[in-house]
Amino acid sequence: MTRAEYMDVLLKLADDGRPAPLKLLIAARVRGQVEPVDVEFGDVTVGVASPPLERDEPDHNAILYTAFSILRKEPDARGLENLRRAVKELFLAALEEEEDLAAVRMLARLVGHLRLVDSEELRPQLLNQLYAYLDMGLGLDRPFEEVLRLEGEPLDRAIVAFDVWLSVLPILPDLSQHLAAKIKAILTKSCGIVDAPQFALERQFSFLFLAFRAFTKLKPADVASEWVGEVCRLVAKHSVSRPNLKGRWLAACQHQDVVFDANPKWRDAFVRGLGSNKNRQRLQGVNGAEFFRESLKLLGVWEEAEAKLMPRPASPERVPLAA
Amino acid sequence: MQKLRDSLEALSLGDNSFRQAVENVLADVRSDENPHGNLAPNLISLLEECCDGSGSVEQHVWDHQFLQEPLLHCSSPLRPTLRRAMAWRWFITYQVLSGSGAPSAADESEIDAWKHRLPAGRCGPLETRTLLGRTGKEDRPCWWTFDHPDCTVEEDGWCYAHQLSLGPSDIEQARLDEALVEVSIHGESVGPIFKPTSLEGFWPYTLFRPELTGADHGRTVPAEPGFAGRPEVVSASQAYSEVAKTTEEIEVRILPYREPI
Repeated sequence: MTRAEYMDVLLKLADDGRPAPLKLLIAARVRGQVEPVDVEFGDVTVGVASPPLERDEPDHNAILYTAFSILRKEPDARGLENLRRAVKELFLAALEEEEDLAAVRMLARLVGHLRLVDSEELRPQLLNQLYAYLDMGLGLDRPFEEVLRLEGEPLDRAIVAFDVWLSVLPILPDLSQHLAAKIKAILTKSCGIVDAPQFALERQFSFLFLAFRAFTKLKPADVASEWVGEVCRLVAKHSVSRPNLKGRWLAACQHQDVVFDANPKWRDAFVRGLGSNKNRQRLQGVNGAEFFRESLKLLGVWEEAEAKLMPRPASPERVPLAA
Repeated sequence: MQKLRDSLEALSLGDNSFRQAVENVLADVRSDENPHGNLAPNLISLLEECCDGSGSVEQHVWDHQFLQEPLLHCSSPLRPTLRRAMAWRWFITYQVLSGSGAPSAADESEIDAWKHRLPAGRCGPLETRTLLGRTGKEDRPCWWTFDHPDCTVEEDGWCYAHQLSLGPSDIEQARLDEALVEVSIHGESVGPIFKPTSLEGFWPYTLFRPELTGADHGRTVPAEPGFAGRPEVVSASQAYSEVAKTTEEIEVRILPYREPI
């Protein structure tokens, strides 16, 4: 089956709202299965085989991203919603049934890429289901705030679930104070935990960055006043032994700048928090001030931060030299 | 050679999509009559030995590309600048935001925001230290073109994609994105480069043709009439975190992609 024929089948199943074969096709694709999937069209059963990757095709998800790009241009949104629903159900099933982590991650990226955050119906369902999974489904014998004390695959699964939860969390959502307090507690605990050398590992920082971004969606001014500096401190401290860490953090800052650009109201709320005493002290300190400044520049808020934190002395009043 | 020939011909008979790829390998074998063939006798001997054992002939071919057998392939001279083109969405997803180490659902959900920063028509530098991805897929040849007296700088994404014979995946996505991205990078940052052979160009419905005149680069031949193709070399792909150790910036051009009416 050619790529074009495969795409036609995929789009038809989405447009016609046939979740069972659609899910089978997507599941086979993300797992790299080459065996055909039987799909019934009227009285005829067709074996639909996933096409091989082309020369520069990045991975098995790419063709599903293209299907998303096609469906979102259609005036009728039903096909797109059907595709999103199929991906959501596959992801939750894979997470709960503890499927192979590589497949769970591929499905997680699909949930993000297909922007389930835009679906009025699916977004609240997935937010609630993932929150329940994180709070109870992980089988933790401690509060979720201390998830970073997990190790190995259980932590990797928690990171994937939290990553997807973040991807469907809207910007400045109208959520309960309880939830905001919970995310703040997660961020606080995570900063404390990664400060210890035995927990300052790549995956622990992955989770910390996600927690930072989640709280940025909820309380941007608080993050600007308090947490940017704290995360900078932790990254600078531990990047001595982990040289890629600085790049990852600066990439996250640049990405946040791009996302802020597309959401000026969110950016404004963040900028309002920049003028805190803690930030002033950090910029005046001898350790880490340069890295903090660099991070604010990549966040695209340095000019505002500089105006708030390092006001220039007022120019002397200009008086005519000779009256 | 006979076992390899038999295996390849059996593949071509069983799966017509490999017909051209098989023809390419057979045409690329070096001999007295074909002195510029890219597949030297010792490389053919290794392939021949594999055909005695288990596994598919496609896999044997892929296992003998320059990535696995660099000493048996023809290296290509250093180029000052190497260029690579891809659909806009593939660039943001796989080179800017996610590499094999840190793919993120939350990042990918925000790809549309990058349209404000990198719209069609924009060009300029990007810092390599803030790119989380790779120049190409980890275990596959990374294809590059370079400046050549035969080729002009292309401003039109559709023309460029067809000159390079990008695959249907890139072409369709670039059409939907209405943008094609060209990444330019210092040649020294890419590592050793090689002349592509029929082994690197071995995939279904390939448009690659082995270069048999002794030139130090290859060429994929566009299917559409009127396009001559561009010179190509291959390298191993690299994580930008590695590239950042020698190169601070890459140059990015976002070419508008519109199909001709």
